[in-house]
Amino acid sequence: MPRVEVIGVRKRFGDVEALRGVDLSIEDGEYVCIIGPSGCGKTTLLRIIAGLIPPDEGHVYIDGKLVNGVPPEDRGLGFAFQNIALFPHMSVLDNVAYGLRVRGKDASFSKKVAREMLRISPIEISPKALPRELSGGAAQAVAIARALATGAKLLLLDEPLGALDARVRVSMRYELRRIVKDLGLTAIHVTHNQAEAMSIADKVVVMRSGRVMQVGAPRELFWQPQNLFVAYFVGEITLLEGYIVERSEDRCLIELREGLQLVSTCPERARGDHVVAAIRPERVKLYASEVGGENVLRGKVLSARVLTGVLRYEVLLENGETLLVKEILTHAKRRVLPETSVWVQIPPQSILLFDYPSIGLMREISLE
Amino acid sequence: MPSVELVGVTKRFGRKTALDNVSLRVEDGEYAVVLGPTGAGKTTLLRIVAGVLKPDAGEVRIGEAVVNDIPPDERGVALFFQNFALFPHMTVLDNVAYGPRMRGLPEQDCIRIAREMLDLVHLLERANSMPHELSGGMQQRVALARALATGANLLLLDEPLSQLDARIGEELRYELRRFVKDLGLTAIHVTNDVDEAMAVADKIVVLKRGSVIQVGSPEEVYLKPKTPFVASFVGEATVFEAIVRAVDSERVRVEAMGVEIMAYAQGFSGGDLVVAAIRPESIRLLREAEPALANRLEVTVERISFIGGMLRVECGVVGTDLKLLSLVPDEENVELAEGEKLFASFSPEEVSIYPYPSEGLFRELSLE
Repeated sequence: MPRVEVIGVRKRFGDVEALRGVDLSIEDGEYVCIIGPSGCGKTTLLRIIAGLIPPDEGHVYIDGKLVNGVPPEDRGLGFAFQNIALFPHMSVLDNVAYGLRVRGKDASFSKKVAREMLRISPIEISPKALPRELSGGAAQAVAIARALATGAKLLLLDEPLGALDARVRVSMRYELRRIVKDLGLTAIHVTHNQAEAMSIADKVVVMRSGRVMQVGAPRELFWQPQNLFVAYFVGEITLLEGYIVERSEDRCLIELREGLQLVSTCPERARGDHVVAAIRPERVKLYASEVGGENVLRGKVLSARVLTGVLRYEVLLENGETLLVKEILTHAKRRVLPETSVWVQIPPQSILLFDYPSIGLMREISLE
Repeated sequence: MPSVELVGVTKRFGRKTALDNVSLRVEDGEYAVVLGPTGAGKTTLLRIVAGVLKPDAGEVRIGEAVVNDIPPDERGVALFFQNFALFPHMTVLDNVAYGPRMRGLPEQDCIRIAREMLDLVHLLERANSMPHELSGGMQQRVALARALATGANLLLLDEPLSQLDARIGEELRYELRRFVKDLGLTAIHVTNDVDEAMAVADKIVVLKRGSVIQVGSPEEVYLKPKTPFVASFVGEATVFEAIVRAVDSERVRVEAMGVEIMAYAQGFSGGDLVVAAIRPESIRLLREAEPALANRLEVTVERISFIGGMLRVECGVVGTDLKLLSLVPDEENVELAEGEKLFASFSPEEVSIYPYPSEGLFRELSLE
């Protein structure tokens, strides 16, 4: 039985349609992340599941029970939201132990659990400190510990790591997933940070303009996005406009700008189709000398950046378009310098094809 | 065009030393990033360069002139802060033309410069919009155009992308570098985000508790971290304590939790307590049959996370408590599973060995 089910949920704020018919099913024990640009409706959806705001239409079930009209405190949830404050007059430890105390657990047990929960924080926090003595990041870690300590089986998290420094944020996301799994909880975590979602979720929900664009495991979204927006939102990708000029049984030939051609495996496309070829930079191979094979294109390196664990190249193709290439970084690998002539190879099966959007490519992938 | 030099700059706030004898040179036309955790003194450093704060000791030079006593508006710097507000009652164009008008330039020049800068940030078509009609990302770009339009040759950026959605920030960081390079500016950019720093910088300055720890290109800082702190802060790494068991002219053999590891390192003797660090992409995961490098350890895959087209694999060395972190390409035809036994293999060149830090490893790695 799914723990959380959302069916046909709509919500309007004045003229703004925040949710335009959302269906979503979350299994027991799943770690789900909801991502999307600002204003996509992800926080509204979370608040409706929490019971903080009612939907205009649709139903929310938790553990098979319809919870429309049930107040938040009776839904059996723990939540850590961005702007839910800690109790200012209580110590960190008392804040975290609060949920257990109000459920009638004795003080020493509550404090023991609270201490354990505080250990998830990568920042050292004194249990005796008062909330006003904490940095934004530390206060956030305490809020998460408090949500965990309630003993609720369903955890709702809205940008739970948003106030942390980037590096702490990375460490803490793995800790957060680990503890949720160790405790056997179901978690729904809303974030604007797609890298965070992809690295810890069992299932990612991508939203845009009040609608769900795709639901899937992180690798599925990354390698098999169902639409251009998801393809672009979950990670860097090169998008090239073209037309199908020839097709055989299992292959087709795409003509890009200036007559540049690519071979692709492409079911369900016909000659003359106006398409966007989407290419993940991790799938492209870069060579400093000429190689043979399918889809080998000449280019010139525009930029070569060493990132954390990765070399990122921008390669200018002969038709004036730019192709991104990413390689894993190792000492043995020499960085190809800007202005160098190179050859790139794009495996035909790695090219994703989408219909050219009627509203134009830039609007289709707009993050605003 | 200005170079910037700080010589022995110290700044205290009450009993706290925010900057401790900092010396640093940024060349003319260079894009420098000051990178460090919250509280490292990054913003203080930037404010001292801007002239908004006075150092307690030391010199600040812009070009070759000492500017300690020059007020901010005569230093030829443009400041850009994270929560830089636009004038709400002025159009986008007037916001950007504000700086040139204040300098008393002829009106047609003010408009020309403003239009050029808006074109640079791809917002020329929104010149007549009011700020509230734009998204957060667009407002940030207008604010940047306004800073660039002042005509200053030195651009100071304090967490310029931190308020934006992660995906927009990722796109904008490459644009930001391009604007600075196209206009031939010198830039000092402050951030706690390692990925952002690596993407834009010519030179990274790692700052910790008010002191400069390392200065170098992104490649140098990432591949040759000078201290365990830099290894663990600038990207992920496996960092652990070890004891030197044997040395020869160029290599050492160290032991950690019963595991022996070979490394290239000099200047150590048998029995020394040291710290070892290994970058995740240096550790390859192999099946039994594949040829291994000098270090080969049997491991159990504990957790696989998906990060940006790669797999981040947490492993435990069989029979010990030693954990290793590996980053491998997500190949179409290779499936890894949690619980699977594999071999972790890495070359002695890819293991960095450091003397044990005098303040202890925990304090050394602390992000506070």
